[in-house]
Amino acid sequence: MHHQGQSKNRALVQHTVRLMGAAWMALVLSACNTSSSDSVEAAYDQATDAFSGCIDVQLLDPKRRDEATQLLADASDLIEETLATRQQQLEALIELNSNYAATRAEFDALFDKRTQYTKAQQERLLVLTQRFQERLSIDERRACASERKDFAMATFALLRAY
Amino acid sequence: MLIALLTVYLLGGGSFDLAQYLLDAQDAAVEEVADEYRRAQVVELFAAMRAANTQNQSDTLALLEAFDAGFDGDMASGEQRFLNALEQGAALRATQTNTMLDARFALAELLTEEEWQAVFN
Repeated sequence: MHHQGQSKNRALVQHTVRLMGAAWMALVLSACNTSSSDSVEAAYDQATDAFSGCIDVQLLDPKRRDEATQLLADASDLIEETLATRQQQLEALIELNSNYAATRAEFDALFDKRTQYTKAQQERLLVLTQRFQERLSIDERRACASERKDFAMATFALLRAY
Repeated sequence: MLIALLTVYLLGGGSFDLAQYLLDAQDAAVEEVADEYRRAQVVELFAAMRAANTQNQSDTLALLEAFDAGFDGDMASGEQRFLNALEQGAALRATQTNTMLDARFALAELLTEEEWQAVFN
Protein backbone atom coordinates (compact mmCIF):
# COMPACT_ATOMS: atom_id res chain seq x y z
CA MET A 1 0.00 0.00 0.00
CA HIS A 2 2.74 2.38 0.95
CA HIS A 3 4.70 1.49 -2.13
CA GLN A 4 1.63 2.06 -4.29
CA GLY A 5 1.10 5.50 -2.80
CA GLN A 6 4.76 6.37 -3.15
CA SER A 7 4.76 5.21 -6.75
CA LYS A 8 1.66 7.27 -7.46
CA ASN A 9 3.28 10.32 -5.90
CA ARG A 10 6.38 9.88 -7.99
CA ALA A 11 4.33 9.51 -11.14
CA LEU A 12 2.41 12.67 -10.30
CA VAL A 13 5.57 14.61 -9.64
CA GLN A 14 7.09 13.40 -12.87
CA HIS A 15 3.92 14.30 -14.75
CA THR A 16 3.92 17.81 -13.31
CA VAL A 17 7.57 18.41 -13.94
CA ARG A 18 7.17 17.08 -17.44
CA LEU A 19 4.27 19.43 -18.06
CA MET A 20 6.18 22.45 -16.82
CA GLY A 21 9.31 21.34 -18.60
CA ALA A 22 7.39 21.04 -21.85
CA ALA A 23 6.25 24.63 -21.51
CA TRP A 24 9.79 25.70 -20.80
CA MET A 25 11.03 23.92 -23.87
CA ALA A 26 8.30 25.57 -25.92
CA LEU A 27 9.73 28.92 -24.95
CA VAL A 28 13.31 27.92 -25.55
CA LEU A 29 12.41 26.56 -28.96
CA SER A 30 10.48 29.68 -29.78
CA ALA A 31 13.21 31.97 -28.50
CA CYS A 32 15.94 30.14 -30.33
CA ASN A 33 13.76 29.85 -33.41
CA THR A 34 14.68 26.23 -33.88
CA SER A 35 12.67 23.18 -34.65
CA SER A 36 12.42 20.40 -32.13
CA SER A 37 15.37 18.05 -32.14
CA ASP A 38 16.59 14.91 -30.46
CA SER A 39 19.14 16.86 -28.47
CA VAL A 40 16.47 19.17 -27.07
CA GLU A 41 14.29 16.21 -26.15
CA ALA A 42 17.23 14.55 -24.44
CA ALA A 43 17.99 17.66 -22.41
CA TYR A 44 14.36 17.94 -21.39
CA ASP A 45 14.17 14.32 -20.27
CA GLN A 46 17.36 14.73 -18.30
CA ALA A 47 16.04 17.79 -16.47
CA THR A 48 12.79 16.02 -15.69
CA ASP A 49 14.49 12.98 -14.28
CA ALA A 50 16.90 15.06 -12.23
CA PHE A 51 14.24 17.12 -10.53
CA SER A 52 11.83 14.31 -9.74
CA GLY A 53 14.70 12.17 -8.56
CA CYS A 54 15.92 14.85 -6.19
CA ILE A 55 12.47 15.21 -4.65
CA ASP A 56 12.22 11.48 -4.13
CA VAL A 57 15.59 11.33 -2.47
CA GLN A 58 15.33 14.41 -0.30
CA LEU A 59 11.74 14.39 0.90
CA LEU A 60 11.76 11.18 2.91
CA ASP A 61 9.20 12.39 5.43
CA PRO A 62 5.85 11.12 4.06
CA LYS A 63 3.82 14.07 5.33
CA ARG A 64 6.02 16.73 3.80
CA ARG A 65 6.47 14.72 0.64
CA ASP A 66 2.69 14.38 0.27
CA GLU A 67 2.22 18.10 0.86
CA ALA A 68 4.88 18.97 -1.67
CA THR A 69 3.40 16.52 -4.14
CA GLN A 70 -0.05 18.04 -3.68
CA LEU A 71 1.36 21.51 -4.34
CA LEU A 72 2.96 20.26 -7.51
CA ALA A 73 -0.37 18.74 -8.51
CA ASP A 74 -2.03 22.09 -7.82
CA ALA A 75 0.56 23.74 -10.02
CA SER A 76 -0.19 21.20 -12.71
CA ASP A 77 -3.90 22.03 -12.50
CA LEU A 78 -3.09 25.71 -12.69
CA ILE A 79 -0.99 25.19 -15.77
CA GLU A 80 -3.66 23.12 -17.49
CA GLU A 81 -6.23 25.78 -16.68
CA THR A 82 -3.91 28.43 -18.07
CA LEU A 83 -3.33 26.53 -21.28
CA ALA A 84 -7.05 25.94 -21.75
CA THR A 85 -7.74 29.64 -21.32
CA ARG A 86 -4.89 30.49 -23.65
CA GLN A 87 -6.52 28.27 -26.26
CA GLN A 88 -9.77 30.18 -25.89
CA GLN A 89 -7.92 33.46 -26.23
CA LEU A 90 -6.13 32.14 -29.27
CA GLU A 91 -9.41 31.17 -30.93
CA ALA A 92 -10.81 34.62 -30.22
CA LEU A 93 -7.74 36.20 -31.78
CA ILE A 94 -7.97 33.93 -34.82
CA GLU A 95 -11.53 35.03 -35.38
CA LEU A 96 -10.67 38.69 -34.97
CA ASN A 97 -7.62 38.59 -37.19
CA SER A 98 -9.54 36.90 -40.00
CA ASN A 99 -11.56 40.08 -40.21
CA TYR A 100 -9.74 42.41 -42.59
CA ALA A 101 -11.51 45.42 -41.05
CA ALA A 102 -10.70 44.53 -37.43
CA THR A 103 -9.72 47.61 -35.41
CA ARG A 104 -6.68 48.23 -33.25
CA ALA A 105 -8.97 48.81 -30.28
CA GLU A 106 -10.43 45.35 -30.70
CA PHE A 107 -6.95 43.81 -30.67
CA ASP A 108 -5.88 45.94 -27.71
CA ALA A 109 -8.90 44.78 -25.76
CA LEU A 110 -8.02 41.15 -26.35
CA PHE A 111 -4.40 41.65 -25.35
CA ASP A 112 -5.35 43.66 -22.27
CA LYS A 113 -7.57 40.80 -21.19
CA ARG A 114 -4.71 38.40 -21.79
CA THR A 115 -2.30 40.53 -19.76
CA GLN A 116 -4.64 40.73 -16.79
CA TYR A 117 -5.19 37.00 -16.87
CA THR A 118 -1.45 36.38 -17.04
CA LYS A 119 -0.82 38.55 -14.00
CA ALA A 120 -3.46 36.71 -12.00
CA GLN A 121 -2.02 33.34 -12.96
CA GLN A 122 1.48 34.54 -12.11
CA GLU A 123 0.37 35.50 -8.64
CA ARG A 124 -1.34 32.15 -8.09
CA LEU A 125 1.69 30.26 -9.32
CA LEU A 126 4.04 32.32 -7.19
CA VAL A 127 2.01 31.50 -4.10
CA LEU A 128 2.17 27.79 -4.90
CA THR A 129 5.90 28.06 -5.48
CA GLN A 130 6.43 29.78 -2.15
CA ARG A 131 4.33 27.20 -0.31
CA PHE A 132 6.28 24.45 -2.01
CA GLN A 133 9.51 26.10 -0.96
CA GLU A 134 8.35 26.16 2.64
CA ARG A 135 7.98 22.39 2.65
CA LEU A 136 11.70 21.96 2.10
CA SER A 137 14.30 22.31 4.84
CA ILE A 138 17.42 24.39 4.31
CA ASP A 139 19.45 21.26 3.65
CA GLU A 140 16.87 19.98 1.19
CA ARG A 141 16.84 23.31 -0.56
CA ARG A 142 20.58 23.23 -0.89
CA ALA A 143 20.58 19.62 -2.05
CA CYS A 144 18.04 20.33 -4.79
CA ALA A 145 19.13 23.89 -5.56
CA SER A 146 20.08 23.28 -9.17
CA GLU A 147 16.97 21.20 -9.83
CA ARG A 148 14.75 23.85 -8.26
CA LYS A 149 16.51 26.48 -10.28
CA ASP A 150 15.48 24.63 -13.41
CA PHE A 151 11.98 24.39 -11.99
CA ALA A 152 11.90 28.15 -11.42
CA MET A 153 13.21 28.68 -14.92
CA ALA A 154 10.44 26.48 -16.25
CA THR A 155 7.91 28.52 -14.30
CA PHE A 156 9.29 31.78 -15.57
CA ALA A 157 9.49 30.50 -19.12
CA LEU A 158 5.94 29.21 -18.95
CA LEU A 159 4.63 32.60 -17.98
CA ARG A 160 6.76 34.21 -20.62
CA ALA A 161 5.75 31.76 -23.29
CA TYR A 162 1.98 31.90 -22.96
CA MET B 1 -2.91 27.61 -41.82
CA LEU B 2 -1.20 30.93 -42.33
CA ILE B 3 -3.82 32.77 -40.38
CA ALA B 4 -3.42 30.39 -37.48
CA LEU B 5 0.33 30.80 -37.52
CA LEU B 6 0.08 34.58 -37.61
CA THR B 7 -2.30 34.51 -34.71
CA VAL B 8 -0.02 32.31 -32.67
CA TYR B 9 2.85 34.58 -33.52
CA LEU B 10 0.93 37.61 -32.34
CA LEU B 11 0.28 35.79 -29.11
CA GLY B 12 3.97 35.12 -28.87
CA GLY B 13 3.96 31.45 -28.01
CA GLY B 14 4.63 28.26 -29.84
CA SER B 15 7.66 26.42 -31.06
CA PHE B 16 7.29 26.69 -34.80
CA ASP B 17 9.87 28.35 -37.02
CA LEU B 18 8.76 31.97 -36.94
CA ALA B 19 11.31 33.17 -39.47
CA GLN B 20 10.19 30.52 -41.92
CA TYR B 21 6.58 31.42 -41.35
CA LEU B 22 7.27 35.05 -42.21
CA LEU B 23 9.03 33.99 -45.38
CA ASP B 24 6.08 31.76 -46.33
CA ALA B 25 3.60 34.56 -45.68
CA GLN B 26 5.71 36.94 -47.72
CA ASP B 27 5.82 34.47 -50.60
CA ALA B 28 2.03 34.13 -50.50
CA ALA B 29 1.58 37.90 -50.49
CA VAL B 30 4.03 38.39 -53.36
CA GLU B 31 2.02 35.92 -55.41
CA GLU B 32 -1.23 37.74 -54.72
CA VAL B 33 -0.11 41.34 -55.21
CA ALA B 34 0.27 42.12 -58.90
CA ASP B 35 1.21 45.78 -58.53
CA GLU B 36 5.02 46.04 -58.38
CA TYR B 37 5.12 49.13 -56.15
CA ARG B 38 2.83 47.63 -53.52
CA ARG B 39 4.58 44.30 -53.80
CA ALA B 40 7.92 45.94 -53.01
CA GLN B 41 6.38 47.59 -49.97
CA VAL B 42 5.03 44.27 -48.81
CA VAL B 43 8.49 42.73 -49.08
CA GLU B 44 9.98 45.62 -47.09
CA LEU B 45 7.36 45.20 -44.41
CA PHE B 46 8.02 41.49 -44.04
CA ALA B 47 11.76 42.19 -43.85
CA ALA B 48 11.08 44.57 -40.97
CA MET B 49 8.95 41.95 -39.27
CA ARG B 50 11.72 39.38 -39.56
CA ALA B 51 14.21 41.85 -38.12
CA ALA B 52 11.88 42.55 -35.22
CA ASN B 53 11.46 38.83 -34.68
CA THR B 54 15.21 38.33 -34.56
CA GLN B 55 15.65 41.20 -32.13
CA ASN B 56 12.89 39.88 -29.87
CA GLN B 57 14.46 36.44 -29.80
CA SER B 58 17.81 37.95 -28.92
CA ASP B 59 16.29 40.05 -26.14
CA THR B 60 14.39 37.05 -24.79
CA LEU B 61 17.48 34.90 -24.70
CA ALA B 62 19.44 37.68 -22.97
CA LEU B 63 16.71 37.94 -20.35
CA LEU B 64 16.70 34.20 -19.78
CA GLU B 65 20.48 34.11 -19.53
CA ALA B 66 20.56 36.99 -17.06
CA PHE B 67 17.91 35.32 -14.91
CA ASP B 68 19.70 32.00 -15.11
CA ALA B 69 23.06 33.51 -14.17
CA GLY B 70 21.77 35.49 -11.22
CA PHE B 71 19.34 33.02 -9.68
CA ASP B 72 20.61 30.51 -7.14
CA GLY B 73 17.47 28.37 -7.04
CA ASP B 74 16.27 29.68 -3.69
CA MET B 75 12.89 31.31 -4.21
CA ALA B 76 13.01 32.90 -0.76
CA SER B 77 16.06 35.00 -1.58
CA GLY B 78 15.42 35.23 -5.27
CA GLU B 79 11.77 36.27 -5.18
CA GLN B 80 12.42 39.86 -6.16
CA ARG B 81 14.67 38.79 -8.99
CA PHE B 82 11.97 36.40 -10.11
CA LEU B 83 9.35 39.14 -10.08
CA ASN B 84 11.68 41.52 -11.89
CA ALA B 85 12.28 38.91 -14.56
CA LEU B 86 8.54 38.45 -14.98
CA GLU B 87 8.09 42.19 -15.38
CA GLN B 88 10.87 42.38 -17.92
CA GLY B 89 9.40 39.43 -19.75
CA ALA B 90 6.01 41.13 -19.81
CA ALA B 91 7.60 44.30 -21.16
CA LEU B 92 9.29 42.35 -23.94
CA ARG B 93 6.02 40.66 -24.76
CA ALA B 94 4.23 44.02 -24.88
CA THR B 95 6.87 45.41 -27.21
CA GLN B 96 6.59 42.38 -29.46
CA THR B 97 2.80 42.58 -29.47
CA ASN B 98 2.83 46.27 -30.44
CA THR B 99 5.39 45.69 -33.16
CA MET B 100 3.44 42.85 -34.71
CA LEU B 101 0.15 44.68 -34.46
CA ASP B 102 1.70 47.70 -36.17
CA ALA B 103 2.92 45.38 -38.89
CA ARG B 104 -0.45 43.69 -39.16
CA PHE B 105 -2.23 46.98 -39.79
CA ALA B 106 0.47 48.26 -42.11
CA LEU B 107 0.06 45.09 -44.11
CA ALA B 108 -3.71 45.53 -44.14
CA GLU B 109 -3.21 49.00 -45.62
CA LEU B 110 -1.05 47.56 -48.38
CA LEU B 111 -3.37 44.70 -49.27
CA THR B 112 -6.90 44.79 -50.54
CA GLU B 113 -9.50 42.83 -48.65
CA GLU B 114 -9.53 40.25 -51.43
CA GLU B 115 -5.76 39.88 -51.29
CA TRP B 116 -5.91 39.61 -47.51
CA GLN B 117 -8.40 36.80 -47.72
CA ALA B 118 -6.29 35.01 -50.33
CA VAL B 119 -3.11 35.27 -48.27
CA PHE B 120 -4.47 34.50 -44.84
CA ASN B 121 -7.38 32.18 -45.43
